[in-house]
Amino acid sequence: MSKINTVQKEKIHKILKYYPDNQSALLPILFYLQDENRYLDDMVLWELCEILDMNFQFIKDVAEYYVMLRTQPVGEKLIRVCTNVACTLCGSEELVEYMEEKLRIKVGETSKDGKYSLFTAHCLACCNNGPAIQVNDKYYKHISRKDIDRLLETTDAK
Amino acid sequence: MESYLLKNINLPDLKLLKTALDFGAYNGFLKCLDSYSPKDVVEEIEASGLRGRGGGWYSTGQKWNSLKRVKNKPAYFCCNCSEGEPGSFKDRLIIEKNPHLLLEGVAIASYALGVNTAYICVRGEFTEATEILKKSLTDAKAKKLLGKNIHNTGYDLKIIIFRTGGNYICGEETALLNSLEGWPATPREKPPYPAEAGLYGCPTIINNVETVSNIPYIINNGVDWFSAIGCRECPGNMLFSISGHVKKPGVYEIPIGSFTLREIIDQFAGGPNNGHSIKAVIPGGGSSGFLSQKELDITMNPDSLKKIGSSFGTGSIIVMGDQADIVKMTRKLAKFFRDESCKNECEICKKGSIELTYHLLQIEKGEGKSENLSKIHKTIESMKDGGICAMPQTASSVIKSALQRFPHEFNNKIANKVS
Ligand SMILES: Cc1cc2nc3c(=O)[nH]c(=O)nc-3n(C[C@H](O)[C@H](O)[C@H](O)COP(=O)(O)O)c2cc1C
Ligand code: SF4
Ligand code: FES
Repeated sequence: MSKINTVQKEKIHKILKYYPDNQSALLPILFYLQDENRYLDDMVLWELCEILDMNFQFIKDVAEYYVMLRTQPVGEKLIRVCTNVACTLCGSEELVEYMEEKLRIKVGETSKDGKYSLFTAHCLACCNNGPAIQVNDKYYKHISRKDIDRLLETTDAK
Repeated sequence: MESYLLKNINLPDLKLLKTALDFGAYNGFLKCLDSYSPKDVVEEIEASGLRGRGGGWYSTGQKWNSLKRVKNKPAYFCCNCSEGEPGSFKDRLIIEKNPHLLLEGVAIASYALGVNTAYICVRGEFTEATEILKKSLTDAKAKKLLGKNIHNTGYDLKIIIFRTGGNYICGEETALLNSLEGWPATPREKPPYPAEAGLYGCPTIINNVETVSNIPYIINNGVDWFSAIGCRECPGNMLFSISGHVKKPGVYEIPIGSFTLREIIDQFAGGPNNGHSIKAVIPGGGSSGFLSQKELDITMNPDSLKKIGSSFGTGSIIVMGDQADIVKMTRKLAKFFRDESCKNECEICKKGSIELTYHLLQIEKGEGKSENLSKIHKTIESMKDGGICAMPQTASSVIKSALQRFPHEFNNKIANKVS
């Protein structure tokens, strides 16, 4: 079965129209495909290199280079905790430890049920609201242990 | 003290075109189209004395004037919204709350530079900001304020909103250009500077969000108005992002050079948290390094901070109270430079930042010996000359600033080591 369906192909061609060459459209296309699939697996990238007429390893290198792109499976909820200076001053390190305990995983790992992945992030440009975290696309501010309890529950229920 | 950048920022509807127009959005751009030649606009911006707010404080007018037009090649404008400097959160605020100000600034800059395709490169994490900006662009195009044949003047401007991959280095202007071209975001060797050979080898001007946001006001209110704000060497207001151990962290709009660091912390951010005094302050974002509480009476302008070996950077003030662990914060920054360095092979950048982080961690954990400290000093020396970009130099001076000002914090941890 094709990993990139007809609708997605159409969208890719639409994105291509915005840019002067295929390589310039690569990042926007990778973001699009990631939104569709949660991560960029090799099969998707293989098909993409056919569409774009580009080298597989090159595409993979680009995808692996950027923090916002993922070439490995991640949980339904990808949690990124800022541990830069301002958030550390507000206690973000303890928060990371708390989440590690609660999810029984280490930073960089995904919980066994596949629901959560935990990462740290460099400054998220939300330093006045530390500790700041991002869950998928959404920012959460002034996070406490209680918020984490609630967050993991509500996202659980989904 | 008049604020202009944040004047109506709390109006919830300011991001809607209708409201923005009621408050004068695009007037500056239309004024340019109606009565200024592109050259007039460049002259106006140069005369205003505006300097770039992305951290380098380069004269915007001079930068624009350095654009080397090449026959049969387009020129590009690129607005840098990669905001990743530790402690900075003012650019995101503008994009989310006043997107039409940014778009108008980009439009004026593009017109002035003879650009028909401009890119707005938004940090990958800023999904909400990106959506807001995209909608604003669509609305402005529908009203013929942007896009083809703007206001029937024959001027075309295509604006592309580009999502960056999120790495800190994407903010370095040549790395940003590489990522726009679909490469990993690695900085390029300079020269050539982007103004000569930038995007696709074409002349390109890159400006920060806040720089761009000043432009409509300069056009509307005039050069005299602008140069009367702030200080002579550096006119205008500045958006200070204030975070850490203060009562009222947030973004504050303050004339450059009119207040000391202490006044800014006390009068705007409410001073240190109750029951605490200040131990250290990072005055201009993670790249500017540490100042001690003895240095807080310095006037906040780029030149005065440069004189004491620090930097004004992005005006991002991180306040550390007496409860802060300076060794840990220093290690955090070393780790930041280690993790955010690019994949170029500048030995000293890679190796140096790994070593700094390692030795600092040993000390932080109480397992450090004096050898760790001397290794740190040696590494700092070796990183001074830098690599393709300024990362190693910056890392070197940041770590040095902590060791110089807080030697006892490091020595104490070594003296107290459990062994
Ligand atoms: C490592 C590094 C990261 C940078 N990050 C940013 C950034 O996030 N945003 C920004 O506007 N400038 C950043 N800059 C500065 C840009 O290279 C460039 O000088 C700036 O965007 C120019 O805009 P200005 O002249 O309006 O200040 C960074 C520079 C370096 C060396
Ligand atoms: S100095 Fe470091 S960040 Fe800069 S180009 Fe070299 S390896 Fe990359
Ligand atoms: S330090 Fe955490 S968001 Fe900036």
